[in-house]
Amino acid sequence: MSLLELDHVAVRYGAGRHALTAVDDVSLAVEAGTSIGIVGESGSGKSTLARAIVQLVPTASGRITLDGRDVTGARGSAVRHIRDRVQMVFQDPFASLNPRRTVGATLAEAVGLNDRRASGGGDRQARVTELLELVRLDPAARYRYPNEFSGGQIQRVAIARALAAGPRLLILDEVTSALDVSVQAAILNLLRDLRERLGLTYLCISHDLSVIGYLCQSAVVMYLGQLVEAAPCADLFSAPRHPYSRSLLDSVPQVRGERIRATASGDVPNPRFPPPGCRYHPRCAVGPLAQPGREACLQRDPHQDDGRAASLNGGPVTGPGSGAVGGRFAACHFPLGAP
Amino acid sequence: MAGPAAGRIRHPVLRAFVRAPGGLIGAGLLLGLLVLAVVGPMIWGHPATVTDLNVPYQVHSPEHPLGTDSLGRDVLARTLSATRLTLVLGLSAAAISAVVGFGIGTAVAALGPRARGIGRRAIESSLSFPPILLALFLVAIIGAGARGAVIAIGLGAAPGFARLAENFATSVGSREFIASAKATGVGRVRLMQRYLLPNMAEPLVLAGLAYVAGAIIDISGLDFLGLGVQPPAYDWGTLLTAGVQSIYVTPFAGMAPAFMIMLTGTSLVFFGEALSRALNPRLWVTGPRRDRRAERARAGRAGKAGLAGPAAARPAPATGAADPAGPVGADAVVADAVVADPAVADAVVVENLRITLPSGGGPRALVDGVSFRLRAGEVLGIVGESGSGKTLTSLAIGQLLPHPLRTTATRIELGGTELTTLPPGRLARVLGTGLAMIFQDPMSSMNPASRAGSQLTDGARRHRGLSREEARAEAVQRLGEVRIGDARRALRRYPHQFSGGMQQRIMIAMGLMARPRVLIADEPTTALDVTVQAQVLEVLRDINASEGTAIILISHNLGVINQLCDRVLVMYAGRVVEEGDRERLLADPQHPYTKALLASVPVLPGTVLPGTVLPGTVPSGTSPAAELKTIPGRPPRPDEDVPGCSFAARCPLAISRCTAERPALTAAAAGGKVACFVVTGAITGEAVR
Repeated sequence: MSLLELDHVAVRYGAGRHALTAVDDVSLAVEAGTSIGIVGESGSGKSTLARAIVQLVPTASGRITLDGRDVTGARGSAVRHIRDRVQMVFQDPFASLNPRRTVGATLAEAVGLNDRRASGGGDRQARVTELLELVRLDPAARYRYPNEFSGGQIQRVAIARALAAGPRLLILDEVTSALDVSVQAAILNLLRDLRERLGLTYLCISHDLSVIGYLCQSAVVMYLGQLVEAAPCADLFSAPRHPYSRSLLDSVPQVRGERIRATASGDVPNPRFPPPGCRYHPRCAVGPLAQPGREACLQRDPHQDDGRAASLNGGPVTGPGSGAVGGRFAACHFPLGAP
Repeated sequence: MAGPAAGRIRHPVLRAFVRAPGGLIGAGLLLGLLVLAVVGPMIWGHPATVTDLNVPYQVHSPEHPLGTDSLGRDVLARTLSATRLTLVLGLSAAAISAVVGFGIGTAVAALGPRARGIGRRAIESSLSFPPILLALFLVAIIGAGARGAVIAIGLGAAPGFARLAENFATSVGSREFIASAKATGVGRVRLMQRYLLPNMAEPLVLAGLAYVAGAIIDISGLDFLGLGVQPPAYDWGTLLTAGVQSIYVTPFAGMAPAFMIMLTGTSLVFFGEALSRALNPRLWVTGPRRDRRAERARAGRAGKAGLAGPAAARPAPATGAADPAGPVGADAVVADAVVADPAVADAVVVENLRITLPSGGGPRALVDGVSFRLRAGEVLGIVGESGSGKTLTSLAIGQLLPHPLRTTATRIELGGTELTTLPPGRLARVLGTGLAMIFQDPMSSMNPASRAGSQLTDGARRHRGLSREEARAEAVQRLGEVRIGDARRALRRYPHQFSGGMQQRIMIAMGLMARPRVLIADEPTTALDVTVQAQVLEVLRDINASEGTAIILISHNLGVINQLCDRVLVMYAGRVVEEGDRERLLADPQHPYTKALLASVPVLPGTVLPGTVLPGTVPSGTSPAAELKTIPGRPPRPDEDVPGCSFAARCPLAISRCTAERPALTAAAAGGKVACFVVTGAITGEAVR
């Protein structure tokens, strides 16, 4: 049984004609102990999806099951259930901590609210020391204010705070995007190390494929609110099936190797007005605009397609040893590399 | 201000307050006023009521320094003893406005979306009603007199505070740390108490304190109408009223209370500003302050050693360190990637650039001894992390550094023209036609209130004297060059109607309008989606290839640098540490920092970097095994004085010489230059201490 299951989840902002569907019918299963990446650009809905899981935004439809319990639209004890199991680390380290409280106060508060074992002040302080050491910070840091630290150090504090609740699933939302390259490396190493030591499950959101490749075993690609491909990282990077994944890979500027080619034309469309049919077709390098005869892309959204997509149905993205074969999925009428 | 003593203050708010300018003055004045309020009536209360009908309307006399009023009462005594009542009334009125206003405002902000909408409309409607009329209305109900005046003025000003509070509560409430606190499980009440309210403190405190003076004036207005303080009680307002009426006869009678009101207002402003600064958590520092005297001594020593101040045209090198521009022979020895055509002037030449920020302990160098040249038609990449000085360097070329930063350089040349000595008019023309700059966030570089078309054509019409039609035609052509379809329609649109990628391309087109020989792009694609980034990089590549525009590309992303550049400059802590041909530098970096930087970048599986160990095949379902190399420590802060190599503290190869002397940029193997004793020592084989 998966740790987290998303079943046809949709998130909508506004209502009626002007509604913005940020997440459109996403189904996903995350097994305990795995590390899944969510890749996408602006408007893909990846951050919204993460926030929906921790109930920071309400879901419009669909079901979220966490550790066997339905937590959609959670209130009361269900919220507690979520908090004990899922925690989130945000992109901007300085924005995510209260600038008026010392690091120690913020951590002690998190411990006090979530750690049932830490009953008294002394226990709490001991746990704060433990957390700071876990993220490789000097315990004396507890007396200082956030503005006295660098971005990388604050991000460690944010990670420590997330760990205070003893979660099993950590959602990492672009946690290194705001950091310098060398600092990013330290945080990525720390995250890898923590995952091994504490047996955590990760949901990593990033626009940076190299970061996903470093931290995650499998990844899903999102475009305009939909899941367009899901695969183990090695397969995704070497032989992507969806043209969008291909163009993402082609666009990543590498330090060694060939120069990139811009294979996606145009800009990411306004998520309020997604193109008809397959949402990627206006930019697709092998779509109806590039290759005549592919009208299916204009007419039918591959997600609604029962025929071809059924066998690659938006089912679980599996980690190693879970039994399903390959566990790949690509929502495309003409996936790359298909016979 | 308050040197070592301030260092001993532990509480961060207090320390920040003492350091804020005007804080102690304001606090001192306020304290004086408060003391006066307490003791005034005790000392002068009685003399203030003694009438002496023999000496009405006296201007000045030994017993009555400021004269007397219509009943012969001493003006000075009355003014001083009126302090208590006035301050009490003012503070009470301000307190009522603040509490009622903030309370309503915050409560509205905490409501659900629909109720909040109604609440906001209600607050805004109440604002449109003139406060003084509202006050009069309330006085009519409550009755004239001090109490009525205070309540009326207090409630009359409440809507203003309500709106302020609602705005702030909403904007603070949408900040990320509120969301993350909720995710951690912080409850509503505590969220308000510890998270929302303290973070709204700054502007609200300032507004509240400022209004005390305003309340005093409003109450004086009611006094003037006879609806405020009633005799025999008197406050500054009533004294002012009486004094103004006899101003030609007894000028001091009116000026004295006016002066006191002004003094109160001024002290409140000083105090309030200092307090709001003190409440800004970004200024909070724990721990004792550094020893300023020792710092000054150190700076003095450095000055004596020959690092001249901004007045010198060519800073003399410190003892021991070679000229940072490199030994004279270096250029001749090194075979650079792009062969220079001696007939064409270099696009940009920078020699010995130094950018300093004046501060208490002496000027701090943010960029020190940077020299490089950009050949015509070349693409030069400048790589560095935050604090490396790469952005400042590019701004210095464009003569865009704001005061108080000071720039000195032996040379800053654009196409052979020295920029630092040009008069402003000429400078504008040279820069306007020769240099274009694009920055990271296109939305903030464009004027949101004017159409793309006018922004594109303004520069060309000014600097090249084109007519409107000519400029528009060129603009359409440029937009085509940057791959924006339907250029005519684009001209009529406003910036916000474009996506980020399109905005950035419009910025490039704007820069190209002048047909510049140099384009400086500072992190042009960092804010863009990766697929759009690929397009913008292709556009830049095209421009360089077809127009021959030389480009300086600044980025922290080595992958982006690899896409476009012919040569690369690596900067660290304000200095150039390595320079060379792109391919060679990325394949075989010389400087320890460059090596460490390259080793810390995660790569997509399947690509191999020198120095990393990857398994031959990556089994499905697992991640690459190699751990990223990290650099221990952190870069030096600008206020840290680093006598030797700025990277020495973090460098695995550092020797004793590295912390004592600054390495100069010298020729390295296979072309390129590197600033490192150990690396150059290994090359030349000289014995390294």
